[in-house]
Amino acid sequence: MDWGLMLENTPLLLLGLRWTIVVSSAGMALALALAVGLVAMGRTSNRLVRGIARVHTEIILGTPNLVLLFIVFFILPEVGLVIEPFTAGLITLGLYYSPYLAEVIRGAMNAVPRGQIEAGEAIGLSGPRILTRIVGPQAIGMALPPATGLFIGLIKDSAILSVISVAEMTFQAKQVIARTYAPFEVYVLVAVGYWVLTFLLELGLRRLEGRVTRYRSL
Amino acid sequence: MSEPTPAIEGRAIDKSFGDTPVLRSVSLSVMPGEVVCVVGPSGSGKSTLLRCLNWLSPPTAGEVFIAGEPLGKRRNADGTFAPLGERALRRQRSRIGMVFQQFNLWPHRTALENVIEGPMIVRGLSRRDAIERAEPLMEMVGLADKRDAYPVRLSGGQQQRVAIARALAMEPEILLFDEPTSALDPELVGEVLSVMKDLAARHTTMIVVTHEIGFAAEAADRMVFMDEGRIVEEGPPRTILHTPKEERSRRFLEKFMSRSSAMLAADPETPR
Repeated sequence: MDWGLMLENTPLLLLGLRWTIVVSSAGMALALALAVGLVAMGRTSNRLVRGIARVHTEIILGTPNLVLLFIVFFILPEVGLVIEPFTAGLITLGLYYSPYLAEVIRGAMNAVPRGQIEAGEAIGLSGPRILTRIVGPQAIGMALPPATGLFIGLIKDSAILSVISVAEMTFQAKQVIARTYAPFEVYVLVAVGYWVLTFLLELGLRRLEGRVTRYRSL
Repeated sequence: MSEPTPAIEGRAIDKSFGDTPVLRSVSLSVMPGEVVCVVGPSGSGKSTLLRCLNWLSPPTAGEVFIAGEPLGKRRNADGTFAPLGERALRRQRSRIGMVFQQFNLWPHRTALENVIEGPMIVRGLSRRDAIERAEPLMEMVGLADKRDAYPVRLSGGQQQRVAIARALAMEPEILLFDEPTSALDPELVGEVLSVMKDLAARHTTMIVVTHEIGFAAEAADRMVFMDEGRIVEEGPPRTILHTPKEERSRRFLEKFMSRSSAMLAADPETPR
């Protein structure tokens, strides 16, 4: 283990880590927005809208993330949509995780007992109010643990963006290795970087879950 | 036609779930201040009737009127009915209070927050005004000291009393109780019934679906016996309990009476 080499290249990897964080955060935001949209589409009475949500889900579930990345990055330009690697990366991550996240949200919403919704209807609450005041606050607490797992997966999957030269941590690692021929040291550092990042995310989201589910134990 | 208007009236209500008829042309009308208890075997349609009366499950056919106003429908000029808009239906619903068998409190809200939710969100009261109005209700159900407790910290009986306060906070014209004590441990039934007796004594208009024959005998102005989706017999509790006309009600009540007298005999603490 060449400690000097590791220390020397750490700043470059940290720079990559920063981009990992940025692209993953953007991907999570997009995944969340798309997932909420998918859930909403699945709840409408319009069969066409529900059908679109279903087709989206089926296509994504049957596509490896790397293939999805190539479709976004190489095929969209063919139809005139030229996009930056970074943008392609965040779109891929967001698209890929949207159906899984939608399923988590749907499940959490369905877990709120029907009787509570009827109690809301009985006092005259509107559908949107029931959603925002009764179902939503409880669903968040139930969705957080499984969503945390998905977010961690998304962070780790951001490594595939290195193949289209997004300057995230894995890409930086490959650059460093090309220069130093020290894959072992560099990948140990990279692994530690991903581990710390996912660990911190898990810690943060677990705290958040504790806060929003306080009513279960108070 | 100088008949006073019933607080709530169901006319020829039919309700089917798929091909299964649950209610067959049930008509029930309750005058302001009247307490009506609905009894009958499981599956006789009692709970479904209540849910039709506040449109939680709209009837397949028939009408419901609250204070003479058609519920969930609007009367056309030619006397026919058209479905009512979502908003108007919500406004009507808020005039009918409902207490559920499973309490259905919102667990992420404290007892007080459960009670003020409707007044704040539906009626548009400020939080302070809503609390001011909720406090006497919490007092009335005997839970003033539990106002900041979350439902998970309350017993079933306490939860059901909060649920009653929640319904009362909307100042409903009619209160519907759907087997309010059936999900409770036996020792907690009394505290809920005593709140309900209070309400009855204050001439709150109530329809109570219940298996508590004792409560019905004591608090009801009228008892309704249902079986197989029909009202078999109705009248003053004394008449229904002691001289039922119909064979079906007699059989049902006999079973009940023998069970409750057996219970009384087995319980040395009950004064006879």
